[in-house]
Amino acid sequence: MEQIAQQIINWLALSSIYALLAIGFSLLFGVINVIQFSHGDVALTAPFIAMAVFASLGALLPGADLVVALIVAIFVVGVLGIVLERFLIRRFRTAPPMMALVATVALGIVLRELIRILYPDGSNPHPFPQLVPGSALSFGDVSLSWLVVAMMAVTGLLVAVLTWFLYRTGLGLRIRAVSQDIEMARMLAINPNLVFRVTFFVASVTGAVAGLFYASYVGLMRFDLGIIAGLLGFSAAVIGGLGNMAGAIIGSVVLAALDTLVQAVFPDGAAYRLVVAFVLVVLVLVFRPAGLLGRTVVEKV
Amino acid sequence: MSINRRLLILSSIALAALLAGPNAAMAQDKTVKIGFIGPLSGGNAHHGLAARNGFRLAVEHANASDLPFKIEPVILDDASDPPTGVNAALKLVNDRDVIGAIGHWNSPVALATTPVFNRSRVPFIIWGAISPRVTAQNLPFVTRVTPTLIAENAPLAETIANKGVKNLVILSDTSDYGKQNTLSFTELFEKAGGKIVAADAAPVGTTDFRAILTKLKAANAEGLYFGGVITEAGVVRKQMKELGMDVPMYGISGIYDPKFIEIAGDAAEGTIVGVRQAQDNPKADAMTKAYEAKKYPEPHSHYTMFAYDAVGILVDAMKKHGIDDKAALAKAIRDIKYDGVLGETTFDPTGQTQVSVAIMLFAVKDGKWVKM
Repeated sequence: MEQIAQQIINWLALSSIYALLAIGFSLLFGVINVIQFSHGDVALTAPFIAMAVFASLGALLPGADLVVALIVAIFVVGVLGIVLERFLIRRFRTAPPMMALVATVALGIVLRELIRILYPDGSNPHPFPQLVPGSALSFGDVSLSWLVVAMMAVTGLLVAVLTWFLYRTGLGLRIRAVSQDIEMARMLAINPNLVFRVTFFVASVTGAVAGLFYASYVGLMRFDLGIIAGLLGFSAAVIGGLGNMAGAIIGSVVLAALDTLVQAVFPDGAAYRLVVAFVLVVLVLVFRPAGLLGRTVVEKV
Repeated sequence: MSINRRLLILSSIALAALLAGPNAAMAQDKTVKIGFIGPLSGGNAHHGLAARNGFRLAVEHANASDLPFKIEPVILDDASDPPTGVNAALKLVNDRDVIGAIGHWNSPVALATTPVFNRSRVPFIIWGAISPRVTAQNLPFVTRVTPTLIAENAPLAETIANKGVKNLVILSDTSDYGKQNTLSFTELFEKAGGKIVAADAAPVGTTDFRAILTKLKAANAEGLYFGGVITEAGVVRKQMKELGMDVPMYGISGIYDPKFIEIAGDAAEGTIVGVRQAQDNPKADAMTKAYEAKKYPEPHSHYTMFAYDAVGILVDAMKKHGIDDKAALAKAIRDIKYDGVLGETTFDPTGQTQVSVAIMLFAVKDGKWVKM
């Protein structure tokens, strides 16, 4: 019983990380119609930036908080998103999808190699601190850390803010307009470039939050974590339906459930967790290509 | 006429070759190469660099001694990755000047490259990889100067059992190294009177072990034996603490590294490892002094000594049996009785060293590995 309760906590913690990643993929695809395959790598630069800022802040202002470094990292990754949009993605928006795909895969490799080169001893794994230390609840054999509580709370909050932003603000309305019909939006004096910039900033910021939580949750940052983070976030978005925020969240919950279940039930199950995850992706693509909730995409494509 | 002229040219070439041949052979500064492969980048670079320095030092010492040839060292990185290791091995065996090589800390890499060296008939000595399967294949060109993981697990299993620990769980990686650790430790610990109540494995590179640890925790064991390598060990230790698994973690040399403590942080306390230590002898002291005089940036470790002696054995065989017949050279290595920094090394019929090596237990105390 206690084991099941603990596994449920593990499942929910993973769900929130996957959800934050998947929302970014979904938002980018929904608005810009480009699959940003390096989104995971963009997200996972955040822990490295945070630690670099933290180290240099310590020299400049003694006593500077890790929180400052985290905020700087999230903001820098958001700006990185804008830069990537301006100089790379925008060129491929109207190009055949294959070109954008290759370009963003290549971009991911560039980002990973840059971490290796620029971060001191970047090829090797480094510890990453537990952002919210301590145990919130310890009941028998079940333990719930403050970090997991914070992860779930922040994910919930971000989803709420994003929903409010997309459905209750003028900018959100413009984003939705561009995502539905870019030509029509342009005729109504909406600047699509501004919309793309904002979308990229928002997606990269949620990615950065996911990256920081990911590194903190596993206690480690490694230059190549972005590959697996990107694959899982993308899979979750595909399962739920690319371009659909609720779908991305449901996809993440399903993916995290399988991930935890395979490891909890089968001996040596960890070796099969990716197999199971991608079999599910294949099944979804075969039987429900638009994803579990992906209605709008069908109309668009 | 033309035939005569061609004959004349051919015979003069042959004559020139005859004249030149002995001259070349007589020259004292013939250069041969010996290779080194190990993890010089990545999570295990620490060990590779310590061994590489031992290799360099040994080559310098050999060149300073009275040899009929000069040795040029060739140093390559395997990054703990089997395909990279095989590429490095191919680079060595395709160079005709390479007479022999030493290599590898990671058993999966050694298992991938040893067939390459054997097929290409280049003598190869392993200084760090400890899966028993590496020498169990009995490839005639492959020998190993370091004891296997069984030699490390045996005293560890006995010590744990003697402390009154009755049941343990095992977590390992899914590589050959991890599997062999699980197999040998289970057998040894159960022979010593303990019981393995649960075992699981995850691929190298896994970062979230919570689902597995939650499962293992439910077995209520008195400790966890970890049969993988440094980075994963640090992550597992950290997550054990977070899940409230307040039991010791045990392991062997695969996790004995400062990087483990760096990654695990405070959670590292209470980790115990059994590590093979070369016995003290005057030669080892001399090597340590020479190492320190060189001021290498990396500290020396027992891998420095294994690499140093691996070169010593290779050069000794080259000196006595020449460098032309590599099959004879490989046989000479296996028949050797070499007195080096590890003590007296001889090989069993599979090419596995029979050197007696003490195993010492280390524990993490106050953020450092301390001898128990």
